[in-house]
Formats: sequence, structure tokens, C-alpha cells
Amino acid sequence: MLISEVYVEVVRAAIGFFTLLIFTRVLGKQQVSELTVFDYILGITIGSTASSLTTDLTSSVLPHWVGLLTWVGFAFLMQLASVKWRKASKLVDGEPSVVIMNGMIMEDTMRKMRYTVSDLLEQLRSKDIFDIKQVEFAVLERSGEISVLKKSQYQPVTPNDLNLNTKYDGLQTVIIYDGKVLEQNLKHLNLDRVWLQSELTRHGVSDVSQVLLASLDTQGTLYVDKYRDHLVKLNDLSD
Amino acid sequence: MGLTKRKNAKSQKISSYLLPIMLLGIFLAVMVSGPVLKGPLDTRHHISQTFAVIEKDLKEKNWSGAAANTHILRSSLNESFKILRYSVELDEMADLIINLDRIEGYIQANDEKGALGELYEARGHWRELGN
Repeated sequence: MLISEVYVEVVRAAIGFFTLLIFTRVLGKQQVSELTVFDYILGITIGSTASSLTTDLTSSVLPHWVGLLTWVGFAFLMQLASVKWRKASKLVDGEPSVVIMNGMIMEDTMRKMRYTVSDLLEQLRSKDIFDIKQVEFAVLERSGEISVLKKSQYQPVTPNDLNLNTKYDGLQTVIIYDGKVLEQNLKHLNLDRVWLQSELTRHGVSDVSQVLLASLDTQGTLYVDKYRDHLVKLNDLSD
Repeated sequence: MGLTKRKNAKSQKISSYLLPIMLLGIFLAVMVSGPVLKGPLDTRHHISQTFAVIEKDLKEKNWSGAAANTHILRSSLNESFKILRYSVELDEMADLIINLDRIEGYIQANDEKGALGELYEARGHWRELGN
């Protein structure tokens, strides 16, 4: 019986695994840090149902799968409704609330959100704000995270404040990854292997296979990281 | 060049939809295989028929016939379980096999009532399997 149970487990695990993979792709991308409480509970429930589908051999697989499908279906419908109707979005996900305005704590809002002053201070500290006077606005987001706008006198100086001109700094393009040249990216930059080899030689690299990562920035500077970095002294952070 | 690229992108898009749909289709087929295949397996291995034969044997107190047919039923069920086990409740199958063990015990003791009770329960488990 044990061996046959193992076969069944493997089949059911494959069904659970790939079903979950497909369903999560359907539900789309959402950052874990931006999950609302409902999203969080939804994720736990879906995961738990998938887990019972795999391990609960006392019941057949279909009811679990249908349960999973129904939960994901409802979640998908909620997402569609939230995207289409603003009111539905407010109802499902809630709204951000201002908890500090002009440096003053909004007690009524805090009470309504069941958010304590300790929670607020803790979140401010995690954003390197130890003095509440520095805060112009603080918004409690739907995920429970806090977004802070500091008063202008406490904000860091930017090049714009000093009327300094800055160069355009776009995305870097990876040209070599794990010892392999990404031909498509090289072509996209209107560059060729000859140019690449000459640049690598300048960095003391004789062969592409020695490079872990090479990327080109918008200024035309090539960054090269070799597998062997030949560092004389390594910083050791362990005790 | 552009046309080939567009064609490739289109076929890539189709396969990105087709593969998950195919996978879900296969999973669904595996999951409903129990209830769907139970009927044909019953016919192929004469399971319901054997239940009836055992019942007749027990009522006629044909103990050797009942024992032989219970043995046949066990083999038939084991063969069917090899296919059904991926989609039905394992507990239901285990209970059915335990019923057969008890029937064999009652047959040894020439206890018609006990054996018939177990037989009816076993038949109930078979009927409910995958439902």
C-alpha cells in the first residue's frame, strides 16, 4: 500500500504544483511587500488548498482542485472588478489614509484604521525618521506600509536644487552573462564581437568564458566582473 | 524578416496559452478518470456480478464457492485500484479491502449474517468510490 501511495502522492503533487503555477500566472504579478491583508490571507488559503490536494489522500483530488479553481476564479474576478471599477477597488483593497498631516498625527484616522502610535513611530524609524516634526505627510498605504513626505527643510539636497547639470543615466545592457555573449543585446547596441574582444582585452580578459557579467552603460563604459577577481585581501564579515 | 518575427511571436503567444490549457486538460482527465473508468472496469472485471454471486453463495451457504469468489473479487478490485487510485479516496479502497478480509473470516466461521453485512458494506464502498 505504501508504494502505491507514493505513486499517488507524486501524481497529486505534480497536479498541485503545476496548477498552482498556472493559476498564479493568471493572477498576475504583485509585489509581496504590496499585498493587502486580504491578498495575504488569499495566498495562504490557496496554498493550503493546494497542499491538501497533494497530501490529503483520504479524499479524492477533484474536490480540492475545484476548491482551488473557485478561490482563484473569485480572486481573478475581484482583480478584474478592481481594475475596471474604482469603487470596487476601494471596497476590496481599501484606501490609503493620511496619518500625519503638517507634522500632526491624525488620531481619528489612526483609530479608524486600528493603527497605534507605536506602529507609526516604528515605521517612521524604519524610514530613518526619528523626529516626527520632520514629517510633512505620512500616508498609511493599503498594504500597511507607510509612505512619508518630509518637510522641505529636512529633504536632502538634489543636483536640481544646486542647478547642477547631470548626465543621462539610463539602463545598463548586459552583454555577457555567465561566460556567454548575449548576441541579441550586442546587435541591439550596434556593436560586434571585434569591439567586445578589444574591450575585454583592455580589462585583462583573454576569453569570454572568464567573465561572469559584462554590461554597458549609457555613457559607453563597459563594466566587467570576472570569475576570478584576484583580490589581494578579502573583507570577511563573519565573527 | 519582419513577417517571420511576427509569425514567431504569434506562435510563441499561442504556445504560451496552449501549454497551460493542455496541462490543465490532462490534470482534469486524470482527476475525473476514476468516476469515468469505474463503469468499464466493473464490466471488464465483473465486479458487481461477483458481488451478486458471493451474495447468492452466502445465502445458499455454499462456503467454498463464496471463499473462491471472494478471492476472485479481491484480485479484480486490486486490478481496478491500480487505475482508479489516482483520482479516488484511498480510504474508501482500504475500507473495501478490509470488508473482504472480514467476509473471509465470516466464511471461515460459516457466519452468513456477518458475511452478508460485510458484503453489503463492501458493495456500498464500491458504489461510493469516486463519487
